Amino acid sequence: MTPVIEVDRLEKSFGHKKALRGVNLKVFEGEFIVLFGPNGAGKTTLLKSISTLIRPTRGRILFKGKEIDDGSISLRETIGLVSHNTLLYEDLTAFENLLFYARMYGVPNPKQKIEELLHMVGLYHRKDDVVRTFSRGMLQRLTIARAILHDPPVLLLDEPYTGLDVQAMKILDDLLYNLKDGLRTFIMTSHDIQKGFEHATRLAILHSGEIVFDKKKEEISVLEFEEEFWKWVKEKEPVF
Amino acid sequence: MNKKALDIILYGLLLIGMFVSLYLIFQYAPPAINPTNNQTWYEQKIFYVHVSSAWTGFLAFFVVAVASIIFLRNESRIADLVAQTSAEIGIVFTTLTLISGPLWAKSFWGRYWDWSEPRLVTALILWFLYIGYLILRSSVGEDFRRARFAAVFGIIAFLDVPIVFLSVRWYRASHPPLLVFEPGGLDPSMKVAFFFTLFIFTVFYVVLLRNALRIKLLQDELNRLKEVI
Amino acid sequence: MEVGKGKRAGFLRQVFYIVAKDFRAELRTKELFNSMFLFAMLALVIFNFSFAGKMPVRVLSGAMWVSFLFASVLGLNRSFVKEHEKGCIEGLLIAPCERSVIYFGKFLGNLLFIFLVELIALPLISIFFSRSEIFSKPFELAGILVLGSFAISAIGTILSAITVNTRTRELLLPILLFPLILPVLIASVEVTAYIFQPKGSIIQWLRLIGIYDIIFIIVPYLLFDYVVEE
Repeated sequence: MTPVIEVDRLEKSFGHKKALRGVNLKVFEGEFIVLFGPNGAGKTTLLKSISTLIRPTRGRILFKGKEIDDGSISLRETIGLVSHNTLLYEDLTAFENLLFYARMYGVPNPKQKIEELLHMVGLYHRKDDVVRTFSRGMLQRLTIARAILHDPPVLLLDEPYTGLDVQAMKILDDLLYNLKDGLRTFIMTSHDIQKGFEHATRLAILHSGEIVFDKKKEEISVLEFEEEFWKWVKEKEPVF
Repeated sequence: MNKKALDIILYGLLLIGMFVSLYLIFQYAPPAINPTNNQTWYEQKIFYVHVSSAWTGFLAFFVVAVASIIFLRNESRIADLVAQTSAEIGIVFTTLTLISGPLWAKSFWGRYWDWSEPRLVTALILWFLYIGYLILRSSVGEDFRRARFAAVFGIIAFLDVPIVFLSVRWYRASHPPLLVFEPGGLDPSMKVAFFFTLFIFTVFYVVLLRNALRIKLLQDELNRLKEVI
Repeated sequence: MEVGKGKRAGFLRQVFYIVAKDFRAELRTKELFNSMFLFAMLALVIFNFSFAGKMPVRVLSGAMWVSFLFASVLGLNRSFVKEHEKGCIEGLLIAPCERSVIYFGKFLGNLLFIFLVELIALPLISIFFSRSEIFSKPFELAGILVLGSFAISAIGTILSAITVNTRTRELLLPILLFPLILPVLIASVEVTAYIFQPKGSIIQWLRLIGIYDIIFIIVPYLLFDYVVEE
């Protein structure tokens, strides 16, 4: 079966610094991969590469067997990204922000879809409020709404739980459960073992730009994984 | 031809050429006669240096533009270094042009500057563009974006230079300057001095470029080794 | 789950959406327009006093264009700052649109802002400085305003996309922009002076602006990808 996403010997250097040193990863439809790793391991770089934000120095990324290149505009319709940045315009209202993105993605019945999503993330009552006034939790909720506006079959989440309050965390949890329908593929990076383990069908660890651990959840227990996790997270020096 | 051989040839050429050029300018070429007052006009000799440095300054910018295009196409580190080095050298020559120009102008027109003189004004704008280019390079933190930004600006700036020249030319047509004397044609022996000096300046530019590039490449290598350790 | 059901909007549509978004945001705060407009007017007031009220047609044209240019710089700077504030530029980069859509969207937005400032400033200039010749040929004047502002926006947009990433940001844009825009400035002032007081011929100036506009909308379009990608 062709993987939805295949990362093939991916390398990325920023000047002299090598952020990714040959990453190999095959993600299949319906999987929920949670990627762990210490800061600087390259998690964000990997996610950004998959989302076409960053061009690889070497190696390739394939979507359903097809290599992504410069003409991959339609590809972006299939990806939703929740990144460190909110990607929301401060001077626009929640509704206006979603309307803009809905239009850019060509979402059918945008107004209806937007209202639906706003209800889902519990922000409908603030739909005409300017985003500048939102709290961190609200921003994150709106960001997620933005990411799934176009119903992407692939969802990339970069440490989505960071800085969230309890209510926002619950909403995110509920949302992820709703979205997991066996056909949607998730790649999430996280520092939180509990949350990660909860959602994942597959667990991986990235260290110094390489994947050093990659197992399906059923093949390992929480304790074993914790051991593995701490082993890699503790090490600060790059491993050759 | 290996590096050392080329080095020797260039250095030798430059060294000898410098003296030959000085001889040509001061001994071989006859002193000019100033058309406005029919007196011997020694300051005219600045002209040889002025035009040569202007030409080199422009050539250096052309190299910046070409290197920038090459860099954008294949992210070649060398292309980026060539662009930067050429800009650093080019601004020196352009500064020389801006110093020698007014000195020559004063002796010919009685004024240091003329805003309707297209070559002078274009050289001034070129100088500003060089400065902008170099400031841009130093204001960008991350290496990999610095080269890209500089390359884009280098290309746009280069395309602008001929347009600047034209616009000052047309400006002069609508606002003719007070003095319209054109420096007279060159004597054949003057021409020899002129073209030879031009040639030597170009050689000088190439020598400077190679040396500076060499230093930068070594620096690069040093930085790369630091990363690995 | 519906996948890519909607037809993605076409190039022009996407450009329009970006312009609409920027206008909507600006309508709410009006910060950009206000600062640009005030700046232009203040600059002209200062010019007036510098020249002790004696501004022959040539000087008036010059003062006008300089003020508009300076005001444009304010607008150009802010345009991309907004995109970088919350990393919004990423949102545009992962959206299913060509990079040049971003360029043209921003270019058009900037052009409209500049033009709007000019349109509102001119009647006021005419009144305050008692220069009725400003309205002797409104269409021609509008024409040269568009041509000149087109150039400022075309080059200014790509330059501000670059400078927004630098440490010196707001300071760097004018340093890079002014030498590049000089030919257009000369030409625009010549044509404007001609409109106020016909003298001589301006064909070559119009030609210059025309060529400049064409070259400097195409070249940035080709190079924009390099500026905006990581």
